[in-house]
Amino acid sequence: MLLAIAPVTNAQGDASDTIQSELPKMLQNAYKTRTVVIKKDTVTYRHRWFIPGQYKLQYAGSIGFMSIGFGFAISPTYQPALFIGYLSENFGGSKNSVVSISLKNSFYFTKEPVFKYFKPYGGLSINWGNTNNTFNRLPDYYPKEYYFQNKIHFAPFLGGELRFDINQRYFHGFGVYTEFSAFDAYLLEAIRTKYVKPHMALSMAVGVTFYLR
Amino acid sequence: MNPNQSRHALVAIFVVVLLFSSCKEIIEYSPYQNIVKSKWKKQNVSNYNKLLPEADEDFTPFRVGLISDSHSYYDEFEKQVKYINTRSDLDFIIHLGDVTLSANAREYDWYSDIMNNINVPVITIIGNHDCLGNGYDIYTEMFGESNFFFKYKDVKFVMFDDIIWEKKVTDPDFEWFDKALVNDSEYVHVIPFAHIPPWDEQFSLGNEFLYNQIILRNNLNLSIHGHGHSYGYSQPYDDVNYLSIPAPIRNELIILDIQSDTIKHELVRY
Repeated sequence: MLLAIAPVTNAQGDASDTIQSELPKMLQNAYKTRTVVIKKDTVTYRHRWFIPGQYKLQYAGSIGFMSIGFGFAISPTYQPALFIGYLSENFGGSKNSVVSISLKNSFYFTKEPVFKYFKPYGGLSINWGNTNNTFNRLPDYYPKEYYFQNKIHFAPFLGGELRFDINQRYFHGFGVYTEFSAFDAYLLEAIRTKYVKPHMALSMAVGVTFYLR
Repeated sequence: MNPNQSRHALVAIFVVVLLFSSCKEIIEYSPYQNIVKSKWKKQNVSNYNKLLPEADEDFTPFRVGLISDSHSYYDEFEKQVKYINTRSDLDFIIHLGDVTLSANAREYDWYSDIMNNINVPVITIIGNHDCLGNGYDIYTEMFGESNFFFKYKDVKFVMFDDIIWEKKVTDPDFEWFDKALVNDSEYVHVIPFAHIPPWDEQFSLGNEFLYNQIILRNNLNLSIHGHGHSYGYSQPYDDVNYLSIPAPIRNELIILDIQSDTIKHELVRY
């Protein structure tokens, strides 16, 4: 709901009047600002707030062989994305299939790109893994606290994206990114044992982002 | 995109591809993935094959090292491996299960990585922790069937998968166990191994009674288990001796000394 009343000039405000007139009709309609009167206040909001501004395709990164993501630029620095990833025998070579849903909370370290193109970022990902024998709450037959839940995991990550402008009908830019995340259970072993070195907890992802006009 | 930008983009893609191809180990599709490296597939089978042709020879006394519950004790497990490698009297090692904490893919890899440093073959039994997530299927890919038996110098080793809760079953496959324990080839000894001892809370009262009855009706007097993390040797149901194998954190190694008329065990502190 917070987004619904975000003013027109919010962080997604890359749509100036001149650009809007060049946009395809579908996006122009979506961008059209609307007003609503609540008691005596008039609130202007962008109708398309719920349309993700970023579309991502990612390889690996512990959330599937491939995953697709939908991102929002809440602010120039906080840009979360929701990913749905898939892995199976024919799609990644795992004998068991896994569907992952991941909320990747990315915080960009700089508002403007470093060296013209590079945008470093970091954050925390919340990964929800659906496969055999994962659970949020233990089945009743286990004694209390026999196992910790194994369905939701956290993974801090660091990454960087090279972002380029493109002059395309629907998209104004694209980015190529690489990031390294550390799955919480592996990170714990890296902290408490000598055998598991920090790099053994890391998982690399590569992906592309397309930025909607 | 101007030509300068496209050149930069191409360089970026090239660097990313190069980075990816140079560090395969860092690629993980999911912590729940069941992708076992070809060198680590069906290791109970390949490790048994390393015991041939001695395994087919007639009985002569031999010694076996017993370890268990190495999950999350990676440093202590490495220490145990180092100690095992200082001994030259062990024909092979049996791990009594719980090689992982949550059966995540890399935990299985870390176990295989450390275990393969042991300079005699290792046979690995499934534990309850190893069945979380896709663990059961990873175990069968990485080690082989979870219920199995093998012969070594006229002794029959019966490895019983008695995991109940994590496999979402009410009873272990007692029919298989009962048949496997039959001395059908004039074995000098038949020795049962299972991760969970029958007095554990996973066993119902009926299963606890049945386990002991199956041992008795096959005229056996020794059953070997992990799960408890500490050494134990007791007779909770009178006639059968139950041997419990400690976790590596105890700095102890159990050695099974198999002779023609008896099976002794020894606890070595290192």
